[in-house]
Amino acid sequence: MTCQQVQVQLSLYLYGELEFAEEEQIEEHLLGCAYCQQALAREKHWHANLKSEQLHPPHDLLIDCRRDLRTKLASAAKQTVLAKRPWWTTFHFSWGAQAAGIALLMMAGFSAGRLTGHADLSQAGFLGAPATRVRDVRPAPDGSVRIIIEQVRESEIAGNLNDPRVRKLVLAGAQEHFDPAVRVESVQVLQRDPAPEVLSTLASLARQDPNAAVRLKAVEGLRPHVAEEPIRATLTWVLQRDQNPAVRSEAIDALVSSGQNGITPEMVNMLRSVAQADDSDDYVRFRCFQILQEVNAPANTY
Amino acid sequence: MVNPGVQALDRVQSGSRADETALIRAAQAGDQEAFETLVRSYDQHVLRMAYNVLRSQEDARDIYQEAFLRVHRNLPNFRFDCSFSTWLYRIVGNLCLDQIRRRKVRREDASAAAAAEPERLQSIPERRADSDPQRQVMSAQVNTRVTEVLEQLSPRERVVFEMRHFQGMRLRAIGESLGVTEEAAKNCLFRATQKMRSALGDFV
Repeated sequence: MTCQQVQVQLSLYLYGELEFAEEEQIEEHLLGCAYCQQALAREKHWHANLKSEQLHPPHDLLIDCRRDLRTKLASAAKQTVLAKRPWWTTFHFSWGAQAAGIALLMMAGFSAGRLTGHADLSQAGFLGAPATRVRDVRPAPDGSVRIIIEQVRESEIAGNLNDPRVRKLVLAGAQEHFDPAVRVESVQVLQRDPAPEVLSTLASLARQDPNAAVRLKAVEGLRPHVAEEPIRATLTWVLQRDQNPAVRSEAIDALVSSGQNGITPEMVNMLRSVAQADDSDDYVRFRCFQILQEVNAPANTY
Repeated sequence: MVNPGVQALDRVQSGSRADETALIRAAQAGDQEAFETLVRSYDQHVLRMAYNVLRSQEDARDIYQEAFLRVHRNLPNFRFDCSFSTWLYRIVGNLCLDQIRRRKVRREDASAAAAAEPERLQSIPERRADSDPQRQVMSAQVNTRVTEVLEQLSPRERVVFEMRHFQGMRLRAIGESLGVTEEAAKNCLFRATQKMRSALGDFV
């Protein structure tokens, strides 16, 4: 392939959208062409910068959208129920149904009183409608029905990370939530906060979270603090031990983000050993070689 | 070489297939809580996509509502012929395309009317992206420029670019969502990135 052919394809190459054979040809060309390597670095830089221009809708907008949708769906459901019900059932209730209704209301009131907690934080958002689940149904001796229901009231809370109570909740979301998507979103929010407990949490997540996307975001969040020794130690650990190549390549980028002054002899040795390790991913290896070239360090040890 | 960060996030976004299938079936049976959980799995990404494509809170809100109302209406007919995310992004992608085309027509009409009656006051649609607190930390100039350049793309190029670059969707999924072949989506993406690159250059 010529340099022009390679450079025209670099964007699709970075997206990972080329055929295997085309990728192979490009990589073969890149190994021997410093000019195209530089073009690739520029393209990658452009991609990353453009990605940083992604707009994030305000959280209030999401809350409003969810509330409006809920309202519309509730209204549509009501219309459907009324439309389906035969007209004569509007006015006729059996005694059994009445008794069941009374028991249901009593249990609902009892459960709501017991289960409704008080949030620690002042609630700036609106309270969502409670989700109701039937836990048990028992016939009573008098012919009525006793129904035990569980009601979970969802609350929406808005605040700033400056508020330690808000921070505590977001930290809990990042560490404890079973859904990795929620952990990812929590880590993304935490990326803006340089508080020591946040950095400590990000470092812990970068090492230990079972989900690669969460670890990736945690490493991203540590990047601005790479000058701090504990953070560098964490990123080094991730580069050497993480199973996921994307996370490792993010760790490399973070470690070298402070420029050539931050690339110590120890780091050069570490990059060499990663580049030469048999189990290193090709992209990770390529990135190590690229950095070693930039600092004029030979790729081989002596 | 693929940067697999996007793949890692794709895996997060798609979640466990089996769990999602159970959720969809429950929602099809009328379980509103299941439907709400399904919405919550995707709604942030849907809103972000609409917001980035259309660069307007109001339009993004409309797309969000219409997309999920359509999902709710048509969910009983969903037969698992494709993944739920493909089906959802088909709806969202087409809504975004329609909205971009409507806005272009409105602007053309507004310009034509202004040309015909230059003295009449016209409210020209706002072209600049809405401000929000996050944008205060970004260069307003860069964002405005990106918005202007995005407007120069065709509606399809804009949606494909948004889906690939910002949402991280694969071209095959984009093709399925927009009802085109993977090759057509690839050509569209290629044109979009070439135009963006030459218009933005080192501005970004």
